[in-house]
Amino acid sequence: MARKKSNNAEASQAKVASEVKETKETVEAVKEDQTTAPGKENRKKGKKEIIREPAEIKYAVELKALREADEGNAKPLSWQLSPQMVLTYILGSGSKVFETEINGETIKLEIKKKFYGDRHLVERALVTLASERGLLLVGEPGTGKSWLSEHLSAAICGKSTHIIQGTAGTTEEQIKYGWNIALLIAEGQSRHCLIPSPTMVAMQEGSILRFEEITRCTSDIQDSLVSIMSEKSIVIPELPGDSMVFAEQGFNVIATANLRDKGVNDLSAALKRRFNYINIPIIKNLDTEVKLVKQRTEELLTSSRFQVELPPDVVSILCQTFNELREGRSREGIRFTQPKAVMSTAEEIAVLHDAAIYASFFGSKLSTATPRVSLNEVARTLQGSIVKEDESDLEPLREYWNLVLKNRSSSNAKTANKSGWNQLYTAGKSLF
Amino acid sequence: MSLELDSFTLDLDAIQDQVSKVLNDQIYYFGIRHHSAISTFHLIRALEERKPKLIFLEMPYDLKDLIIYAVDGETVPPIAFYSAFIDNTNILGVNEDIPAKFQSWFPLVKYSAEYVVLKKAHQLGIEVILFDIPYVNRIKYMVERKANELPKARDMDFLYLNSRFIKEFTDHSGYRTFNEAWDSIFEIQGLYHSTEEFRKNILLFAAATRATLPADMLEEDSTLKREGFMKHVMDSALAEKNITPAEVMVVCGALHALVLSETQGKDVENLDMPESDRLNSLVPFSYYGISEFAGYGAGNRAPLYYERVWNLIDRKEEQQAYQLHALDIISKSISAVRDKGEVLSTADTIAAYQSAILLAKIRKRKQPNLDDIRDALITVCVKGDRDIEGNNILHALDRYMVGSKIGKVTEKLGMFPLSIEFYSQLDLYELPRSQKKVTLDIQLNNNLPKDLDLSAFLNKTAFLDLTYARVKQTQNLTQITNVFVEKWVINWNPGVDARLLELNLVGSTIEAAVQAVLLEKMEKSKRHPNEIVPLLFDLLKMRIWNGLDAVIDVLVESIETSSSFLDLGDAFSYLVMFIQYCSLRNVKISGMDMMVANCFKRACFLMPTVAVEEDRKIDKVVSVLFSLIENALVYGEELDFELLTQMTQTTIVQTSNHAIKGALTGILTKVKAVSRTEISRQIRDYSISGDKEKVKVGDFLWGLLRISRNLMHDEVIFSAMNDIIGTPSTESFIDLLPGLKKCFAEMTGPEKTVIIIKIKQLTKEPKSKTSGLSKKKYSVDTDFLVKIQNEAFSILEEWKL
Repeated sequence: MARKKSNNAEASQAKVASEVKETKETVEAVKEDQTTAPGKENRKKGKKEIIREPAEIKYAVELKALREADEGNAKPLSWQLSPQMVLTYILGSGSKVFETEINGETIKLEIKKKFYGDRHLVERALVTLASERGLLLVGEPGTGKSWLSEHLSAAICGKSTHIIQGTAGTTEEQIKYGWNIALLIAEGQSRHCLIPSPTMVAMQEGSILRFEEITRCTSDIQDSLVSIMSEKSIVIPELPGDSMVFAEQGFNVIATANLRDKGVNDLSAALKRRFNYINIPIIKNLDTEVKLVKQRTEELLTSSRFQVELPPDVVSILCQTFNELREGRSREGIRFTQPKAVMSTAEEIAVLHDAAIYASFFGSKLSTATPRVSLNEVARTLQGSIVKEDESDLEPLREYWNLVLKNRSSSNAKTANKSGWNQLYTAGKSLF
Repeated sequence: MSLELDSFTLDLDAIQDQVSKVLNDQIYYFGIRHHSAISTFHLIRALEERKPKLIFLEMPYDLKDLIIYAVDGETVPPIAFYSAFIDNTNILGVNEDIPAKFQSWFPLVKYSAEYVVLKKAHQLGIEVILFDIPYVNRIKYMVERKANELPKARDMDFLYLNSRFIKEFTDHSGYRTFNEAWDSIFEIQGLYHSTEEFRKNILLFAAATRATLPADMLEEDSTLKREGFMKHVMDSALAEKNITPAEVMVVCGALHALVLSETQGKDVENLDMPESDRLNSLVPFSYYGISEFAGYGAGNRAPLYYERVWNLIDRKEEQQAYQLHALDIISKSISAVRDKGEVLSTADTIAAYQSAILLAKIRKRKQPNLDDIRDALITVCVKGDRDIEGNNILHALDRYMVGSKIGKVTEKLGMFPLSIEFYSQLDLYELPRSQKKVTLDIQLNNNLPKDLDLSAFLNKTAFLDLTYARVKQTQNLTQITNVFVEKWVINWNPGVDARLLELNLVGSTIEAAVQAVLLEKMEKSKRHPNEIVPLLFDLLKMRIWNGLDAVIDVLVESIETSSSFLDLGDAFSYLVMFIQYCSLRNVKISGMDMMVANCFKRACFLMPTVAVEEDRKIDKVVSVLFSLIENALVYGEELDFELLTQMTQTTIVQTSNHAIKGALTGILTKVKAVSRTEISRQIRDYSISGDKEKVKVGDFLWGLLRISRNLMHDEVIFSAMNDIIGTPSTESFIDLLPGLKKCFAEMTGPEKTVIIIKIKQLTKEPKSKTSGLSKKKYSVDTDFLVKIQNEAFSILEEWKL
C-alpha cells in the first residue's frame, strides 16, 4: 500500500493548534515567572503592565521548547541554542511542532515566524555572531534591524536588554563604565563604586550587547568600541592591580545603522574591520509585506487589548499605496514625486495600528461587536505619517492622489477592488 | 545511506520499487547529471570496476563519426558537438519561402561524464554507442507537436525545474536554487557515499522528480520519443552483437536511466534530407558559454570552480576537495581585490574562510560550496551596498568561478571552406583571434584601398552575424573631405566558429554566404520597404555592387504594393539619408530620384490611413510624420508638396485624435500652408469647447510642438498656450495635466529657459531681473521658479484639493 503523507496530518495539526490555545493561560503564567521587569509585582496584583515585553520573555515558551529539542546539538560556546535552532526561532518552524512541559503539562506549539526577510541573510548574521567579528545591521529606517537584533540576542544568549542607544550625546562612560561619585568620595576608588555600562555587563555575562544607531554617535565615541571588540576586554586604569574586565565566551556586539544617516558619522576603517555588515532590504514582495503588516499590527493590538478587525482589502490597499509611494511609480506605470518621508514597513504597521485605534474609539460602527478599520481611518493616519516636517510634504501625496488614485477609482477603470480605492481616494481628497 | 524522502508528498513505495528494478536489472544503468563532477567520479569508479564490453552513451546517434576527434590527444575541452541543418526541401513544413534553419551545441568540459567516458573507453578499448535521437528528428517531432519552444541540445535541468518535488525539496530545505540543492545532496554529500549508494540516490531523486512532473510534459518535450529511440538502439545493438546484458553499461541522464529497462523500443523515421543540408562538427567552446547555458540547457554555473574541484578529486583529495578549494578561491578573490587598492587583510581571508565553513554547517553541508563562499565573501568583505561596495569582490569571484578557458579541437578534423577563408582574411588584415576586446578605427578614404577592403570585410562579418566585429560608431571627419571613420569593436568567441559552420550550409565563400543571407533578408522584408532600404546601406558598406539591382527591384515593388503609411514614411526618410550617404561616399546609383519621389507620393496618398490609427501607435505616427517632413524639406522642391498639403488637410478633417491633428498642423506650418494666427485660434478654441474636448489641448500641443519646435518661440502661439492653461476649472486642469506634462517634459534645457523668459514677460516681471537669464544661457532662474511655485501652491490651497 502506498505510503502517502496522511491526510490525518491536517487534523492532527488542528488538534495541536487547539491544544496550544488551551494552554495559553499556562504559558502566560510561565512568562510571568520569568519576568524580571520591575512591574512584575504590580502586575500580579493587577495594577500595572509593561507595554512591551522583551523577546526573551514574550517568547519564553518557544525558546524553552527549542532549547529542549536542541539538546545534544553542537553549539558555539555559551550559546543557548544551536545556530540551526536560532534560525528556526527567527524564521518560524512552519508546520513543524515542538513540545515542552509547563507546570507539569505538556504543550505543543509551532514556532512563529518573526522575520520576513531572506533566510540566507539570517544565516550570515548567525555565522558572524559565532565568529570574532561584530554584526552591523544596516538598512533604511523601519526595515526590522532592531527587531532582528533583539530576537537574535534573545535566542543566542537569552537576554536582549543590554542596549546602548547611540545619539550625538552618547559618552564614553555610557559605553565603558562610570563612577558613583558619592560612593567614590566616601570609599575611594574600588570596583564597588564602578557603574558598569551595558557593554561591561554583557562582557561579564558572555552575552550580546546591542548598540542601536551606532552612526549617530560621534567618531571618537564609536572608536571606544575598537579595543573592546579586538581585545575583548576593558581596561580600568583607575584601579591598578584590578584594572582588567575580560569578556566571557559568548560576548559579541550587534549594532544597527540607518542608511539615512550615511555620511553623518561613518565608521572608521578600524571599526569597520571589526564588523561584518548585513544589509536589511525593504520588503518588495507585496504579498509578504501584507502578511507581515497584518501579523505585526494584530500582535500590537492584542498586546494593548484592542479588538479591531483588519479587513484584508484594507491591508492590501495600504501596502500597495506604500509600495507605490516608495517607488514613485504606480503599478500602471504613472510616475510621480516620491515623498521625502521614510516609507518603511514599520511605518505601514504604525499607520495601520493608529488607524485601528482610531476606528476602535471613533469609528462609525461602535455599536457592532468588533470595530473594523476602514480606508477612511487609513487615509487620515497616512497623512500624519507622510507630512512630518512641513506642509510641502503633502504635495507628493496630492500628486499621487490626483494622478493615480483618481484614475484608479474612476468608473471606467479596470482595477481590482475599485470600491476600496474609491473609498481611499474620497477620504484623502476631503482631508488634503 | 539513502536519500531522505519521507517528508514529501510522494508515493514512496512506488518510487522504491521503480529504483529497485533498475538497480537489479542485468544491464548496469548509471544515471548522471551533465557536467557534474561527482557523477563522473562515481561513474569512472563503476566503469573501472565492471569493465563493460559495450557502453551506451546519451549523445545524438549521428555524432558517432566525431568521437575519434573528441578523444584525440590534441583536442582540449571545453569543446562542443555542433549540429545544424537547413531545411531546403521543407521536410518540416515550417516555411516554404525561407528555408528554416536550426542549430544546437552539445558542450563538454574536462569533467563531463560523456567526455570522460569517451576518453576512458577509448583508452580501455571499450565500444561506445551513442544512442540519443538525432537533433533533426527531435526538431521534426517538436514542430509536428507545434511546441512553443524548440529544444536546445539538452534540457534535463528544465524537467527538474518543473517538478513539484524539486520545488518542495528546495523550499523545505531552505535552498535558493536547484543548483544549490544539488550541490548539497550530491556534489558534496556524494563524496562520502559509495558508488552504489550514489547510484541509488540519484535514481531515487530522479524518480521523485519524474513522478511529480506536470502531466504530458515528458510527451510534449520529446523525452518519451527520445527514450523510445534509445531503447531501440540498445535492442538492435544487443541483437546484433554477441554480448550479454551483464557486459553492458548505460550512461545517461538519471531521469532516462530510471525507465529505459521498461521502455518499448521505437525507431525514428528516416528523413529524406540531402546530406548537404545537414552538418555535424566539433568546435572549440568556452567556459563563459558553458556558464551561459546554466539553469536551462544543463550547462554549469561555475565551470572553472568545478574543474578545480575535479582536479582535487582526481588527485584523490576528495574528502577535502571543496574545503581546500574554498580556501584557495577566497584567498585568490581577496588578493585580486587587494591588488585593485581595496584594504582587505589576511584577517579578512581567515574570517571569510571561517564564515564559509560555518555557513556550510548551518546549511547542513559537510564542506562549503560556492554559495557559501559567495555569502561568506559578501558578509566579511562588503561594507555597504552589495552592488556598489561589493562590485570588485563579486567580480573577482566570478572570474574564478566561471573562468575564461577556451577549448581546442584537433587539426585532424580539418576546416570547412568558409572557415578557411575567414581565418585567412584575419591573417591578411592581421586581425586578432582572442576573446579580448580590441577597438579599431578604419578611415574610409579612397586613397587607402586596403582600409576600404578591411571595412568591407568587417561589414560582411557583421552582416553575416558572425559576432566577431561590430561597428560602434561611424563618424564623418569633415564635411569637406568626406572622410568617414568607422570605429569597430572586435573580439573572437566560440560562437564565431559555430556560425561559420552554419553558414557553410548556404555558401562556401564569404561572398556566396552574403548573397544567400541577402536573399533571405529580402524575402523576409519584401512587404516592408522600410526594412529593405537598410539593405542598400549594408551593400554599400560591404562594397558588394552585384546585389544592388536585385535589392532595388524588390524595393520598387514593395513601395508600389505597400499599404502602410508608417512603412512608406520610414522608407522615404531612409532613402533620403541613403542618397546623402552615397553622395558623401562618392557613389552614384541611377534611378534613385524617381524612386524617392514615388515613395513620397505613395506615403502622402496613404496619410489619411493614420486618421484612425490605434492609440498605442500614436507616438510612432508622430515620429514618422516628423522625419517625413524634415527629410522632404532637406530633399527639396522636386517633391510634390502640393499633394502633401492636400493630404495633410484631408487627414486633419478625418482624424479625431488630437495629437495627430497637432502633428499635421505642424506639417502645414512647415510648408507655410497655415498661419500662426490660425494656429493660435485653434488653440484658443479648445478653451471655449466642451470639457471633453478641452482636455485634449495637451495632446494637440504635444503633436504640434513635436513637429515644429520653433512654434514655442512664437509670441502669438505662446500667448494662446498661456491662455488655455489659465482658464480651466480645477477639475479640468487636473485632467489637462497628463497631456501638458507629456508636452513640456520633452523640452530641452534651453527650451525650458525660453519658456521661463516668456512667462516672465507675460507676468510683467521687471526687465532688470530677466537680463540675468540671457547671460547664463541654460540655467533656470531659481528665484522666479520659487515665486511661480508659491503662487501655484496658493492657488491649489484655494482649490482645497
